[in-house]
This record gives sequence, structure tokens and C-alpha cells, in this order.
Amino acid sequence: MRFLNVKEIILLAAASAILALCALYQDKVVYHDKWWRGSGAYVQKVRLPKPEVVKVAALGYDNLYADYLTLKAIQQFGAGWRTTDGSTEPIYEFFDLITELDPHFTGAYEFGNMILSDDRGDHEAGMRLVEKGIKNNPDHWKLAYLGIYTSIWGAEDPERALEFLEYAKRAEDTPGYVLRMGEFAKRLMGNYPAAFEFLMEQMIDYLEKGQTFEAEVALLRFQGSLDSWYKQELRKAAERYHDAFDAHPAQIEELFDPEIMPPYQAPTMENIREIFELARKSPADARDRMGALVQAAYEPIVGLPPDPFGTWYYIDTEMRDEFISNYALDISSTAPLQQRFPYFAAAREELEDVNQRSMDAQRFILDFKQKNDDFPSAEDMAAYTTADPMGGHYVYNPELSDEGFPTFFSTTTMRVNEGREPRMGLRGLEMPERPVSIEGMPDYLQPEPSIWDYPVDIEWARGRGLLEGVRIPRQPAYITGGGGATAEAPLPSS
Amino acid sequence: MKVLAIAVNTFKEAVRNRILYVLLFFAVLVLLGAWVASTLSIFGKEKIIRDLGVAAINVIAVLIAVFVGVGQIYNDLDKKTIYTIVSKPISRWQFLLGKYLGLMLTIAVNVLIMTFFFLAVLYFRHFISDEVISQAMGVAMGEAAGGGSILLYYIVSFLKSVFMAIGTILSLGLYNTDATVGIMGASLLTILELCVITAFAILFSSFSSPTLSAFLTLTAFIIGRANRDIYYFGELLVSRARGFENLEAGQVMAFYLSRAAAFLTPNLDRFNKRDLVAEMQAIPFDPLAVLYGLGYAAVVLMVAMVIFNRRNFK
Repeated sequence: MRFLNVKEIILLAAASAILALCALYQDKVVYHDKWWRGSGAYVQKVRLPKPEVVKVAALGYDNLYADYLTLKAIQQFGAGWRTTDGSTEPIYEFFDLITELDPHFTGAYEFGNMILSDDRGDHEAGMRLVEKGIKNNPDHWKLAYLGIYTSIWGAEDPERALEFLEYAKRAEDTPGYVLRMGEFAKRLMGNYPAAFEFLMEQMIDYLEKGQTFEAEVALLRFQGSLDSWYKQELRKAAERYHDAFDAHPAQIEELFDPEIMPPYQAPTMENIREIFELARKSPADARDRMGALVQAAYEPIVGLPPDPFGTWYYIDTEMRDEFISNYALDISSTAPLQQRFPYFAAAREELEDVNQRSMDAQRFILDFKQKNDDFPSAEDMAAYTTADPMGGHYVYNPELSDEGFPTFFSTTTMRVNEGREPRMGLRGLEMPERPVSIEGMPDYLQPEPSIWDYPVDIEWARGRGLLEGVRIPRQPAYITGGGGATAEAPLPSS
Repeated sequence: MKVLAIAVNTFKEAVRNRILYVLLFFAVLVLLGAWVASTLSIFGKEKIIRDLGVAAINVIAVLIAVFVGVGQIYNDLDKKTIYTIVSKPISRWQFLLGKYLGLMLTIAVNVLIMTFFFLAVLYFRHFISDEVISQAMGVAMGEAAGGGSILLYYIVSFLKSVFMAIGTILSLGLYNTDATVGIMGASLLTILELCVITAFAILFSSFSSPTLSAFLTLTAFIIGRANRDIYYFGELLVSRARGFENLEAGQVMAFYLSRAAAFLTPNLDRFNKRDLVAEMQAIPFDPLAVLYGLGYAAVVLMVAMVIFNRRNFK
């Protein structure tokens, strides 16, 4: 082998120098796209060719080209994908092309839906893409789930969600929580009885298949369903009250006049738990008598409806006053009831508010400290240190951080954590031992303990006159592991 | 025996060709690159690796067929070695067939080498995935390896990947894990596709220069891949005119031309099941596709034999 001579070395050195100049030119002049450097949004200026043209040109490497476009889409999305005219159609076309090249690339439908719907707010295009994905991949339940999700929370079109639900039902492995979203869609449409029936059918379905865990989750879902229903009934009563007196009620008791709030039929959690117990014993029988069981869950509700989560309903006067002074006049009489009478609350929601506010404040303190390397002043925290809705107040003391304590907390939460305050159906921050638990169910799905699970809480509430007119439910047998009075009750007949 | 001798000789000649090694090196680079490219994605990484891998094997194999194949006969003519062969008791068709088989052997070996490498990459990637490593490290580091290091686990995984890749190839794709299902099937279909393309390379090189042969072979490849579209072009004309009877004279001719072209040119789409690989599905054995591929290659070779037989070497 011969070594390089001087001329060759000079030639190679010259070539290297020219290459270095080229690289410099590339760096300074060619790679000037701001989006690529992360300092500006990527603006799509050219429309892609039609899929049929690209398919011919791909010469059988369709999947490969789809992958390339997908990687490109990811980079573009990372750079804040925009189009010259501001429309989302070019973005839809981009994903349409990817999925024409590879119709079974389910990730592309999901990602495209996320960009179109969640990021750009074009829910219709997002749903169109998902619908195409479902047609090409009918067994991929996640696409149907995305369709339901986008319809409900994006497009706010629960009827469309029910169409996607039909697709979800056809897929084999669709998890129960996706199917249960149908109940939520019906509830949103204001069709509470249909939502209830839907959930009941699901629960019995699971029991019939021996899927006790899923059935128990379905049972828990009734709480949310009934909560919406009862609150809606309270809002209807508030509307009648408003029509009669041209004012909003001061206290919830003012609604309990039979003229304002006539008795109505609705299911109760207590009845549903009874049905659950009976259906668990003989699911096939329950399936045969589905109609009768649905009817058996109903009972006349007179006055204050029982909060399915175990506390009680009331009018949040602070919210009501703020609503009346700021918004009431602006809301049309044809607006949904929950916009016109938004002030109904359950006691359990208060502690949630306390916890949420504490978390918001902690986050503010953390951000402030990261930016300024110091704790915020008392003035900075003034917006947070107000009275809490549970009768306590919020405390801010940065010195406590040296002792390992939170710098911001509410005295109510502290009292709850120390066991000096009833839990109001919640576990507070430190999660004391659960009085109730369902075997085999993950922690995050366990039922929240209600006020009824703690005799001390019941006494506390009763002592303050909060349980007037509230019926105290019996302990469900499936939770307490026996001793429930409902377990042996006869099956309601049709 | 004569055909076999020529085939073996062609194979030996081909493996001495530098282009082959350059292409193989490039293939290995692309297969490793697939792994790197997949990290750019936030979803479907497995799919991207598999797509890129099987496509790379296919593309490189086509390039080998074209650039190694087209020079085979020309070189013998150029170096006048053809005279020493045809002066022996050996038919021209036997010479051509031997060349073809030798070339196919070269291509098949190369495809299998690339497949082996790709399978090893996939197995290795599977072994060092977070879930598998967290499950296995307890054993590798604790009991089996007696407190060994993560490096040892990587070495063991590498060796295991190599053996498993060999197992998959020797079992013709019957032995697989989820990570490699369908890969071997795609490679075997690539070899079948290459049977047709190589036959075209031999056909064109039997009467033209290597440059022209390479161009014509690539054209045949492109037409073969677009075969389905050629057929649908005729269908499109009819559907746009809302019925065959509404076609104008020129359109009728275009319709029949598209039909004729579709039926006469090879339909290489028959050997493209790479979408199934992306979906982690096994590729079903399709005897009709095998018969079609071998039959079409035989037809092209027969034409090549006729042309080569009539050729004057002076």
C-alpha cells in the first residue's frame, strides 16, 4: 500500500476546506428555518399531492412513506404546526395521506385526532379522521374511544358519541370503561333514565359474565349518574321557584314545597345496591327480569334527594350571590339549567375545593421559588389566604418549610388529617385507613368512604342540624362483608 | 451438472464484486438506522423499525440484482471469455440458465444475510427493552451471573439474539417471537420477487450494454410495482365515462392497452406483503404467488434464451 504524496495531501486538504466552507454556508444560510431551530412555528406552505398519486409513486413502499410522513408530522407538531390560511384542512390532508398509504397505522389516526381536535380545536376533522380509522380497523377499540371522547369533551355532541359507541360495541376487547361512556353521553343529553338503564344493563352484563370487578366499578358509576340527575331536579325546582317569586332561593329548604318541587320518581343508591346484591347471586335471573329490576330501583323522592356519595345537597350561597351579581342577567332563559342555576353543591365537594385550592397555592409557591429563588411574600399570597368553605382558613408560612411542613395549608384539612374534624366523606390528604374496600379492586378505584361509614361523622353532622330530612342509608352488605340488611331481601317482582 | 457448474462459478464471481459489499454495508447501516429513526417517533416505534427494515432489505436486494446482474453476460463478452465457454459442449441456454441460477444464489444469500442481521437487531432490541431487562436483570445479575454487571447481560442478550436469528432463518420463519414475526416471510417473498427481476436483468443483458440493461431492468421493476395501477387506469376510464359503451375511440384503445400491459407485465404487488409485517402478522404461504413468480421468471428466461441463442458474438 502506497502512502499519500504531497500533491494528494494538498488536494485532500483543499477538498476538506471547501467542505468546511459548505458546512458553514449551510449552517448560516440554508438552515435558517426558525421552526427547525425551535424559535418559531412551522408553517405548512405546500399542500401534499392526492393520495392516489402518491400511492402510485410510492412503488409498493407505501408503509415506508407513511412512516416518513409521520415522523415529519411529529416534528411539525413539535414546532407548533400552522398553515398559511389558518385552516386545518392541510393538516387533515396530511394525515389522510398517511392513512391512505397505511390504513392500519392506528397510531397515525390517534395522533392526527390529537392535533386536529385537542390542539387545533377542529373536532369535526378529528372525528372524521377517527371514523376513517374505525372503518379500516374495526377491531381497534381505542379509535372508537377517541371518537366518543372527542364527541363528548370536544364537540360537545353526545349524540355523535353514541354513534361511536356502536363501533366500540362491535370491537371485541373494548374495556368496560369505554362502554360506560355511553351512559355519560346519555346523561349529558339529559336523558337520565336512559343513562340509568344503560348502566344497569352493563352491570348485569358483567355479573352474568362473572366479571365482578367490572360490575363493582359500574356500581360506583351510578353515584355520578344519580348525582347529575338529582342536581338537575333541584335546578328544575329552582326554576319553578324563580318563576313564582322572581328570585333565587336563599336556602335549599325553600324548594321543598310540593308546588315547587313535586315528588318525582328516581332510582336511589340504596335500591341499586340491593339490586346489585341480588343480581350477583343469580345473574341469569336478573337478566330475565331486567325491566322489573330497573323499575325496582325507582322510588318517589320527596324533598331533599339523598346525595349518592353519602353527604347532602345545599345551596352554595357564596356562589349563588356571585352568580346573581355577575352573570344572572346575561344568561338567556333558554340556556341549559345548569348555567342558569349553577349553585347547587354537595357537602363532599367542599373539601375537594379546599384540597384543590391548597394544591393551586403550592404550585404557585413552587413556581415563584423556582423563578425568584425565594418564597413569595404574604402580599403575593393574599389571593389564596382567604376563608375556606369548610369554616377554616388558609395559612401561609414560609418558615415552616425549614421544619419539613407544607408552607400553605388550610386549617380544615389539617383538622381532618389530625382526626379532629369529620372527613365529610373524603379522606383528606393523608388518606386514613379505609373503612370500606372492595377486594381485588385497585386503590384508585376503591369507593370513597362516605359520611355514613363513620358514625362519628354522622353524629357531627346531626349535631349541627345538617341531617334534617335526610334518610340515613343502611350499610351495603357487599362492602361490610355481611350483616347488611339488604342481602336477604326478596327479588322485586314485575 | 453443466448448469450447476456455471451457476457456482457465477456465484463465486459475484461475491468478488465490490458493489455487492458496498450494498451490503449500506444495508447494515440502514437496518441500524431504522432503530435510530424510530427514536424520532412518539408512537409506533416498532412499526417504523419493521417497515424500514423490510423495505431496506427489499430495495438493496433489487439494487444487487440490477447492478450485479446486468454486468454478468456483458463481462464475458467484453473479456472474450464467452468464446472459451461456447466452444465447449454446452448449450447457450444452459449458459444463460447457469448465470441466472448463480445470480439468484448470490441474491438469496445476500437477502438471508440482511434478514439475519435485521432479525438479530430486533431480538437484541427486544432483550434490552425496559420490561424484559427489568425482569431478567434480577436473574442475570443476581443468581445466574452471580452478581454480574449489566454489560454481561448485554453480551448474553447479543449472543442469544444471534442464535435466535439463526434459528428463525433455519426454520424458514416458523420459529419466531412477537418481535420478529413475518420478517422471514417478507424476505422469502423478496427472493421470489427477485426471481422475476433478475430474469429481466438477464434478458436485457443478453442483448444490450450494462447501462441500458440497468435502466431497462429498473423500468421493468417500476412497471411491475405499478402493475395494479395500470390495470385500474383502464377501469378508471370506464367509470369516468359511466360505462364501456360511452368510451371514445381513443379511450377504447387506451383501455385495451392498459389491460394488455397489466396482463403482460409482471405484477410484483403479489410479492408485497410488507404491510402484514408492520402489523406484526405472519405472512401466509401463497402457493399461487410462488407459481406465478417462478412461471413468470421462466417465461422471461425463455425469451432471453431465444435472443441469446440468435446472438452473433463477432
